[in-house]
Amino acid sequence: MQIENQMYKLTGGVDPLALCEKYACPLYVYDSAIMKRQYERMVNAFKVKNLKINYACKALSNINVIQYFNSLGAGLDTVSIQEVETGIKAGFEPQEIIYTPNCVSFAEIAEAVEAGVKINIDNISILEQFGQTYPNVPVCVRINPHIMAGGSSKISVGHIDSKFGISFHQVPHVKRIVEATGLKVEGLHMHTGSDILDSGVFLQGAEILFNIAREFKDLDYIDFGSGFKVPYKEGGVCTDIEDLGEKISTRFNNFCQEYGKDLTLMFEPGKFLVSEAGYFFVKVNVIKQTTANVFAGIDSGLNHLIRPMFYDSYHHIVNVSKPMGKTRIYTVVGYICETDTFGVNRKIAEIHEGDILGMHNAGAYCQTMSSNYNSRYRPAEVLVHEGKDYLIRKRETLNDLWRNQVETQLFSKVAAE
Amino acid sequence: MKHTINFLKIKLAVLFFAFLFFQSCPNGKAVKTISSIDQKYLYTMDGKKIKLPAEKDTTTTTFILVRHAEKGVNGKDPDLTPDGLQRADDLAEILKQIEVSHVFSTDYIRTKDTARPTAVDKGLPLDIYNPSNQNSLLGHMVMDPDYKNVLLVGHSNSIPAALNHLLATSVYENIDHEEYDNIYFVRTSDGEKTKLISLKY
Ligand SMILES: Cc1ncc(COP(=O)(O)O)c(C=O)c1O
Repeated sequence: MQIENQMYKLTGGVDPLALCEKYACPLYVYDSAIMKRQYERMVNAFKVKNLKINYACKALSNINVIQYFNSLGAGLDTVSIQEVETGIKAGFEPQEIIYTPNCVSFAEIAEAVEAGVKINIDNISILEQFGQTYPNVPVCVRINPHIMAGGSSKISVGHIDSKFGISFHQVPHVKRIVEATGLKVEGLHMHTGSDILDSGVFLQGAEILFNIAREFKDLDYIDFGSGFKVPYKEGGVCTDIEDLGEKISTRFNNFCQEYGKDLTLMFEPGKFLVSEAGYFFVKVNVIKQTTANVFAGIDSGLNHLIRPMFYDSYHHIVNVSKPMGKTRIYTVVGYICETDTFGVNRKIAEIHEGDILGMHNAGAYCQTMSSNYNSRYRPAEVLVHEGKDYLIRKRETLNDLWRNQVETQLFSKVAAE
Repeated sequence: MKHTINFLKIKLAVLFFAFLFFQSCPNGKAVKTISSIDQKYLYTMDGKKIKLPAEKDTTTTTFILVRHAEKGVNGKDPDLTPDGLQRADDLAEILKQIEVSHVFSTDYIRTKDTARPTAVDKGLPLDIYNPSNQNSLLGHMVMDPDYKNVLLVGHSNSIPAALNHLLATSVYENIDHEEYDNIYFVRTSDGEKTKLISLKY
């Protein structure tokens, strides 16, 4: 959002207040121009013969967003059979979808094979079963490179104690399974965590994967996962994707020469592609002055956006209704029956009850992690595309909350005779 | 048939000289007339000798960009019309004297059929690329010395996009639906301004 004529505007001059008026708060709004900008940054940064950016749709799984990335030429990274089905419904060719589950049942993996998508296997036991059941279906193997990286322990997933991937020390075991079953290993994969700033982590991981790649002769692709950091604070740092692109591309191209084949370089970013494209607009219900704080209580809570509470994430908050007011200090809190603080001691243009606040970076892991806690409806979602707004998810209703509940009629309050 | 052989030959000569001219003036100095060429040098009428990009010139890539030739109307992946097939042959003919190192086409019948005669003529494989991610490929080719003169066959939107990317601009708009005769030579060289000549064929 930019300030134009003293008011916030989305790309194409779209007025966020008009959207809040039209669709009501709380409201998720996604700006497609920012998704495109981020996608193109990645494509431009990695200079290789074959590049595939698989959008990790766990970050934001609305089918329109998935279709948008399909139209841009991305592939799709999925973690569940439901995401696979959504990707296919969105129009992806099955082979453009990679399925990277962990700790799922073999039955679910079988469904993904049935659907024809690329399969990424992250443990020895499943690999064994897979090789015995589907010796002719090529697989990708998720390697745990034992690198500690990422913004917090919850999102650091490539270290030695993590549940993800097959330890690179177990590669001989993988090879034995491959030889015994005749499996074709078509890809190698790693993902070390989210919010990684240091390009050294990727380069280190790359070397580990290249070493392993030398042992597998039928590779088509190497997938370096994701974890690119985006700025959350104003002026905040992000992964220097252009610098990383130069370094990885050079190294990757050299490796392809050595390997004797133009492999495809893959990544599977979620946050990098959609985080900055999303805004969450909420209305201020009350201003509450205590002896210690001024609270702005909003019509939302951890049920809609849990990242500040779950990961201690910072989401920049602005007063969209009155951006030019004198700044004051506020603690922005939700309406849930437990502490759900969005921001402590934030400098925000003076807030009045009824004002609309905008939370930034609400594209990734916000709506997809929302719930009905406290029996609240999940918000509507709107896509802003080429100057127009499109409703892409309706706000829930009471019927949505009740829809799958089965009333047994076992208990009724019978009036005493 | 659209072109007579003679007409084609004239065009061919014009294009070839334009190409050499373009290859040979890295500083953008105008060369008036070409008197002769050999493997290494181009000699001008006024007695100048200009070095052609050497075999081992590691930094120069010339992209030859064309949209696919005239397409039919059948379905999502139409093939070329007779005019289109003729144009594809003309393209190979025009590029006869130019050492093409790679031939790239998107994965559609109309683009592959446009690129194929050239690939066959040069004995090169037809490399398939994804136009959505073409900036990655273009960036790679600019850096990698193996890519010298690259023919890239694309679409009315992807070819202008490639021009915009290579020339770091946004002025190229989609090619008109009825226009099939554009050929663009883009030369990128380390530390030099990227150059373009756009011609018709
Ligand atoms: C295997 C895998 N790939 C990709 C991603 C996307 O990461 P990010 O949103 O940081 O780009 C994740 C995130 O959890 C992941 O687990």
